[in-house]
Amino acid sequence: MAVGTMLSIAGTGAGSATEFFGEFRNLCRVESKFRQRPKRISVCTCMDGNNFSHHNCIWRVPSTRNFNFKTRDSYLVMAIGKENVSEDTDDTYDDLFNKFGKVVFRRKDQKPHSEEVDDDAESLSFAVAMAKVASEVKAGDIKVLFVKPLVYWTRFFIIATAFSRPQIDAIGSKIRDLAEKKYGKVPTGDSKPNSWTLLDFGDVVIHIFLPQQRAFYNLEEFYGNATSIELPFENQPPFHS
Amino acid sequence: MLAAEFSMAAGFASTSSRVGRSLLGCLSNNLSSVLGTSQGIACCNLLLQQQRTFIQMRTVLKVVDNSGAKKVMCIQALKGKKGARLGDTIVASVKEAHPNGKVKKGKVVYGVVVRAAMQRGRCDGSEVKFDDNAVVLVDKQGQPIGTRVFGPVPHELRKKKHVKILTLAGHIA
Repeated sequence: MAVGTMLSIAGTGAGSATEFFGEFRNLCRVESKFRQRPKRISVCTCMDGNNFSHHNCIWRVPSTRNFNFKTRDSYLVMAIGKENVSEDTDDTYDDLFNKFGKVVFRRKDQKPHSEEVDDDAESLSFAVAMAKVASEVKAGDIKVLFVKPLVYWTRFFIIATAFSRPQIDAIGSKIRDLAEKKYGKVPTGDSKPNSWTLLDFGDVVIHIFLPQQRAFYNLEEFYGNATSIELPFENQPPFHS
Repeated sequence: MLAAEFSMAAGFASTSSRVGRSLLGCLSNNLSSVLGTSQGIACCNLLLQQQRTFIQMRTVLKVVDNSGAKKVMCIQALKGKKGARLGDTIVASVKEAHPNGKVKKGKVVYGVVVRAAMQRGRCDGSEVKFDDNAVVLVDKQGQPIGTRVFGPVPHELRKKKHVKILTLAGHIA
């Protein structure tokens, strides 16, 4: 179930603060504890994914965690309510709201919206260039998925089908060459061609499957919530006679 | 219930020697009277915490993918003299399996450790440790045998070239 609830917290009255918390308490069964450095207040999130219902929340000292789901429109981070909130924390939140307005926690290393879009555009152009190379080598059924809202460790997935191991090798080496020449990126990934070859370029991850592996692992279903990017060239159909 | 814990590497822990819980439990009372109260409490905490160690031969681990196995016992840690840690590969024997799964009981499989009770340091100074030891089964080439991974997996897998497991995981710690 999608976790992307976004609040545009702007100019709402202080009285509705507790309402928001009530809603969130119903939405997420999250138990979080604060293990904080004295400087920052951290809020933990628990993605209410498929098989996660029996786990408690993970607590951590935040370093590079991306708390933003769907930050296209605002860069205010939402505060997620907790299950067993004590009176003190309620009061603390109220105090904070009164003092600072609705923004309780804003990440300091967050870039403004325009820069984020620029970064994404760069990765997008890289991803589309890679997909183009793959289609030149006659890879089948190329899909580019924008997974940044779902997954924080990468931005784009490229999924392609190759029909034989030498073809996987060929696609892999062409992509590596182009990336190194044009963009200067070196992928960390498998060196030997496997039935599932993966090339990790940091914010773009390329998966090259054999047809039966693609059906077996079924990544499109797993990342079904990701938006698919339109490719400007024609795709080869996955099965040809 | 499982929970993961991050803790800053305590200076106290690094300087003093680690001791087992049962050995010096009786001494904690003496310590708290000898030292000041705050130091005594810190000492107490250290002595009452369990000392977690590597994953080695005969360690039973939980399997957290849908390959069919439930529990495996480590036979060999492939890297490291003392044992395997978070993100390492092990050779294991399946001890318990689902009746209709891809692996059967008694099979020798490779696995990647995705959760370990022993803490592992991260580059920013924090440490990550989990409540249990869990493994994802892979084949000899490193391809996962199952199709989905359950529970949280740490970020350390990316550095260790196990990005495939990260893509199959639903939650990343």
